[in-house]
Amino acid sequence: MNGQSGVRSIDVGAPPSRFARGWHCLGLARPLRDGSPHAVEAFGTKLVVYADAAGELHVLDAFCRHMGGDLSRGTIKGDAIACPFHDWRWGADGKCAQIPYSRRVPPTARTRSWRTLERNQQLFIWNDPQGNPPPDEVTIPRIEGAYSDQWSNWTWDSLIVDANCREVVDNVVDMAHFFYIHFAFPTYFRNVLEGHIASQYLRTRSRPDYAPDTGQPSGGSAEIGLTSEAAYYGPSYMIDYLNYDYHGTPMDAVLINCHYPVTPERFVLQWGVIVKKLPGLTAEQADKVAAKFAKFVGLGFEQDVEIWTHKTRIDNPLLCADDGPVYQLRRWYEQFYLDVEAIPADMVARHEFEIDTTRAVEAWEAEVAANLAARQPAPAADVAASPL
Amino acid sequence: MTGHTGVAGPLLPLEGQQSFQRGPGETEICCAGCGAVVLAAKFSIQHTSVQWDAAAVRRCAEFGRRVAAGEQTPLIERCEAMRASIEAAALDGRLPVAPP
Repeated sequence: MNGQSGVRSIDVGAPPSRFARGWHCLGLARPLRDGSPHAVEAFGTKLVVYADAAGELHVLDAFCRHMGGDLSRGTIKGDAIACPFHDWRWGADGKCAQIPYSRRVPPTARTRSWRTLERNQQLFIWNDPQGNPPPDEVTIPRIEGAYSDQWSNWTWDSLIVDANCREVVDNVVDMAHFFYIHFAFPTYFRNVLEGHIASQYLRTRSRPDYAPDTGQPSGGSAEIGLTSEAAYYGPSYMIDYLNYDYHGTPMDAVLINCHYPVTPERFVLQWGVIVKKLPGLTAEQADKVAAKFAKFVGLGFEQDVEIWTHKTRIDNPLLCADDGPVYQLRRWYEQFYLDVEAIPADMVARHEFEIDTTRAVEAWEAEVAANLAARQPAPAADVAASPL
Repeated sequence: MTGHTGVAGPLLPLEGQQSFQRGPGETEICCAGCGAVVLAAKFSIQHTSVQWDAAAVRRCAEFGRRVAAGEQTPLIERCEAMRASIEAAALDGRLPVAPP
């Protein structure tokens, strides 16, 4: 200690020892139906995803309860997944259905089967340390565009992040990082936290001092307006409905921002985009527009990851009057780490928080003007600011 | 606990409602439209923080109409009548407008 008084201490806390209760998206469903088992490292172990003879996807613990073989390196045989070590056949219900070389299957031959949900062309699994099924109201809503030929196909990307996944959830209330990390200029920012849903209402314009498609300094990019209505449904799956200006035409897009934990200090971050087809665009052109937008979203996430992998965990953030409701958001998020009976009413009660962006916008306009004055003009780009 | 009791308004608060500890700058605001009571704070004219409890959400007339039409309250951005009541309280000085 150096004896200075009044110095603020950082409480780094510790990541939770259990994993969040809720639906977690593992990715797009179609690539998982290629006839092979797929390995997913998640929830502190390894899982196997496989499709049965009818094409329905199932998820089991990957390590065979016999001698520990890795089922994700095995073979799909009928409706079962066969272990590569001794050919034990495991069914979708987690029971061993057959051991070809043995007269009988031991009655205790049962592994963990994960409850699955296929929605929006994506596969979800339900995690609950208490082993309860999901309540009816806790589900993943349908995204109409994901079922419409008026919309593009999903893009899908992922990154492995060495940090606790609370870092990505914090972003839902973090207004100021949009300017510094994502080159966006928030002019309206409001959160509503209630039940298992956390919403963010956001309006931004892009920063004219950075090219919005590359994040590189620019001498004067066109300002692109964007409105975003995003919500986490549970601890890990956010649907973000976006409208932005695309060459003077309003563009509707849906962005998925989701993750699943690998360990308490590692998670897989995933994002996918669909865009509504503009009149006259072919399906291929619409997919290209989606890919371009997804690439920009990916740039934003890479900037987040740069922050997350170098920052410290901090349980006592020091906030100013123009920050978002970080403590309320974290209290909302804590519900997913408690037994359901232990969730206090005020943890899930409705909380609304609207930030005054006046001061921030004044400061940022001055910063942008100074940057522009110091640069040569550059051609305008055409991708909207990231909503994340 | 700070109860939502003794609040002037068109309706008395419902019995047995949950109530929360009041945070810095938070003031009870009763909706002029339906009598739902929330804890509101304003750090500036533009900024607003609103803490509802389950009873207030149930009592809110606008939420009730929209839920009946198939919406979920967590996905409703705000109740306009409650917003008007909070703005009126800020204007006439019942709700302090200052950073915490």
